[in-house]
Amino acid sequence: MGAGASATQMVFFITSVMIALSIVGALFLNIQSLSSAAIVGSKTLAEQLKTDITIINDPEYIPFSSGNYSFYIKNTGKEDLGIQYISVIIDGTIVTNSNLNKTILEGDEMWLSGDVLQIDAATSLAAGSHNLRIVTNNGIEDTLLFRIP
Amino acid sequence: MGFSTSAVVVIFTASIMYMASMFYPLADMSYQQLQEAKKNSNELWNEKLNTKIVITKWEGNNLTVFNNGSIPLNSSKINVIIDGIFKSSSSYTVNPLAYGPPGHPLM
Repeated sequence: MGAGASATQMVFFITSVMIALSIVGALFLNIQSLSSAAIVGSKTLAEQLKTDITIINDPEYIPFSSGNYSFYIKNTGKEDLGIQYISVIIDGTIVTNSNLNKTILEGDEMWLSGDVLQIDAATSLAAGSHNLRIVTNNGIEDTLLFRIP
Repeated sequence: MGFSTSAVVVIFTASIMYMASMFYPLADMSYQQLQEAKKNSNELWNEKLNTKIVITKWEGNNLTVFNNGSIPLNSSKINVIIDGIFKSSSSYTVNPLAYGPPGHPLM
């Protein structure tokens, strides 16, 4: 075997190792991305499975005071929830945060399991039937059909 | 050529084993997390389906609520709404037996 053949083999060796390493690098990046997505996905799903809310208003008597309708929502799940990203949809129209006032009744800053959240919505509603939908930040929702006399 | 092929095979094998050893614990952790959440969800539904309360008497300021379901309920977590207005827990008292077994009054 001459010096030329050795050099060729060396070039082949280096090239194959470099190709193998780049393929492994690409695979590793993909696997890592998949792992992260699986972890985030399972965490979200786990949170959703543990989250549950119930609107506990009397559908015949919705408290109204100073232009605000008050709605009571109980955390009936096993997950503590933040109240910042709770969405309120009345008759299919979202009520903007500036028109909402959220208070946890007899509770702390976190909406713990069993606590009741009071949402005062500054909106005008005509007499008749209406639909209220509350959605948490992780997509769990409850709906109430109520009447305004 | 043979030496190059062997090197490539070694690199691939080692990397696949390394990736599997990295990926498996993470996948297993996600699976366990989901199993735990599923168990919680089942418990939640079990509680919901087995819970029933009945207002049996309302005399003056006394309200009798019976636990007519099949699981014990924590009476301190009961909420009272009269004519649509939420009553704060300081405005009423519940049965001192704070944990009402089925068939017993809660408040």
